[in-house]
Amino acid sequence: MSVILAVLIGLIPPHLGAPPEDPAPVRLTHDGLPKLRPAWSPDGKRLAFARQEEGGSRIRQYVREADGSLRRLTKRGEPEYDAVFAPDGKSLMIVTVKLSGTQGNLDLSTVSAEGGETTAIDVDGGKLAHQEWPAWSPDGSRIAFSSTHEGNQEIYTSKPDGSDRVRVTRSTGIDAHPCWTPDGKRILFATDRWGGLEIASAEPDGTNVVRLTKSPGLDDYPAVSPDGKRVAFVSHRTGDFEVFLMNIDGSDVRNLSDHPARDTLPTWTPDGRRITFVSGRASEADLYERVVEP
Amino acid sequence: MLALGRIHGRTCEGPTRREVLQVGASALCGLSIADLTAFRARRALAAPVSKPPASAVIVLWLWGGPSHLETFDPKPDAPSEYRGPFESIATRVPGLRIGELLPGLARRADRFALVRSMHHESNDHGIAGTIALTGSIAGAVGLDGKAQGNALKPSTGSIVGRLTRSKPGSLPPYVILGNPLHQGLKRVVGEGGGTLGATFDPFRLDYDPGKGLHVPNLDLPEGVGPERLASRWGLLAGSDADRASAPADRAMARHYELARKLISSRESLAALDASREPVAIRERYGPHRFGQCCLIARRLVEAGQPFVQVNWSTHVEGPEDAGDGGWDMHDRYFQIMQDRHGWMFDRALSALLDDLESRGLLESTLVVAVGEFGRTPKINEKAGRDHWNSCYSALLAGAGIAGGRVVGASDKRAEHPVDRPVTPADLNATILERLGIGTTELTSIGLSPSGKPIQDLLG
Repeated sequence: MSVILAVLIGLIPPHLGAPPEDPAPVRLTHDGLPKLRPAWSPDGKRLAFARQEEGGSRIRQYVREADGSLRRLTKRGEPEYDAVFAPDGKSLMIVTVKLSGTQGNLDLSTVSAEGGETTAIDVDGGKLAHQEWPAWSPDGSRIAFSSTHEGNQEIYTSKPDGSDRVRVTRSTGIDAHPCWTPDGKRILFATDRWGGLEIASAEPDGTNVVRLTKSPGLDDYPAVSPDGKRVAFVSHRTGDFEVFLMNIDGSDVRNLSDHPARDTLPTWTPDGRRITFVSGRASEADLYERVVEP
Repeated sequence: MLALGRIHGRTCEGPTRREVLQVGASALCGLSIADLTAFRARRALAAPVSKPPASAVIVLWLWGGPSHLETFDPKPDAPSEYRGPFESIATRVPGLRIGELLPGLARRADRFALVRSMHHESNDHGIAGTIALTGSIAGAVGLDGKAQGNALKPSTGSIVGRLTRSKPGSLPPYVILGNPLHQGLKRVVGEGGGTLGATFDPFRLDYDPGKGLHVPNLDLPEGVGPERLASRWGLLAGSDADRASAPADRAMARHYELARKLISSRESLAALDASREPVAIRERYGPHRFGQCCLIARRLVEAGQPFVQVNWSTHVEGPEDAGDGGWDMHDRYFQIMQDRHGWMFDRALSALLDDLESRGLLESTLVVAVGEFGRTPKINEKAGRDHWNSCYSALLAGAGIAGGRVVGASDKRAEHPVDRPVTPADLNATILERLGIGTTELTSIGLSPSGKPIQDLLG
């Protein structure tokens, strides 16, 4: 019986087991190449991230399987990144670049979780514009993203096919990196409307904007925990890129990564017990994961 | 160690009898009067009356055009569509603020000076690159493929190379860490010898994190060892002997010969390899290509190299646009600055300044960080910044440059200089002046001085 139990425990993905006592981050990748936006599948078995390839001239989207193997998500030759799993885990929304001289055109596209062809969705009416950082609503009925199609980078939502577009933000500066709360009632994002980049939240129709951070140095890349109680984000307030945690109302801010190397782009594991992030602590950039105290 | 110095003496001095005899002999060898004058300049440089402030220069060439607003000329009080999402931070120098992505440099601001009023006449990468590297628009080729009038001038590095005596068996005086510069698929001119000839083109080395130090385009193919390469090279030399009379062929033959020696000698290559540095030193520069190239530049300078240029990238474009990560960020600008360029530049340059200083090299090494232009103060419709040649910034350190000083100023939105406008020709004249190269030396090799040294920078 004990043997069977041991085997079963061994099959459980690391972040589904009990948190280890040592909170030191665990390194998930070892190639040292620059990484962009890690994102877990809903079952916690697959990890999507983009990688800038050796020589720096390609950005490609990968999926890390439960056994640690890597596979490319598409066979595209042009840049691609920012892929995030749909709530049902069957597909991903990804940013695909169509090169056009020196004015790359960035679109949102869908692709099967098993990989293959991408299908662009039309949220900008075919304009040469930049749609980035897609984020699924918890029920999968909408996506939030940033777009420049109206002349300034703003946050929008739409149905996953690009229809029924709604503008969420209206400021003369930069609004970026949206993230839904688990109940779907608010969207967190980064904005420079008060000076440097800060984290704010708004209702999906853009009303009731609330400022969550107020610090020297940028605050960016908010990621709401699966239970909706906390937010991981990157901050430069110490003069160093660190992953911070705060309560959903902006209180109780603390440095989670606390390392002189660059730590950034946090995302939660689906069980809410760990945070995965990009760190340069032992290479230019690799993915790490660390336990978060309940 | 280095044969650089300032010439002092009569400029109308005639040739000596010995030199006349030498020119006769030189003529037999195919040398010209210009070669003789260069020889005289070199001889004079070899025996300087007074030691110039700099014995070496490291140019950090920020290809693609960094934004002055996010680096050295922030405008926190400008409207949001100008100032951008990053804040300015205080530095070690009271009253001096720079972009928040450069905290390491902020802590070292007492060691460098800034020029905030750089400007020139073109916002085309190709033309601007030529202007910045040569101080002149002559011969520049833009994106449309059209060449500007008059002959291409030599780069500052080539001038230094022309006036510097190489030690036997050493690298040529002018080394670039990086591939030839490109805008899209077009090669950019201005890094080479120009009117001085291809003999004074740079010798190129490069470093890639996965590949180590290498000679671009001349790496040993898989399965080819040094012995087999030497054999192949012998065949190549034999076939080239008949057509090696043209200057370009001679220059190419010289380049290949140097490359052959370097590649064939694992020891020579290893001596330049940053992996021989202690891990702690390597880590300070950062694990990325640019950081490690800055470390190699320090090693080269320490070994007596007079002019090293580190190219940030080959292409102006980023990987999002089929480039290799240049500073030409028309879109995704603020994300890329945060995720890549800001910390990479800050870490590498901070480490370089520390390293040079701790070895006593900073006082004799001029460090210059600059690109071909700045970026539009008003953020564009793609959340990026476009080309802006009307105003940008440069950083200089070491070799008598006054730390903490700011020369020139831009207006409230960083659009135009409002005080002490400075041109690339002035910047290049400053580099040469620090090396003891002035009017006399330039005219001795058939060049006309352009630009004036920025005296306000000096301590």
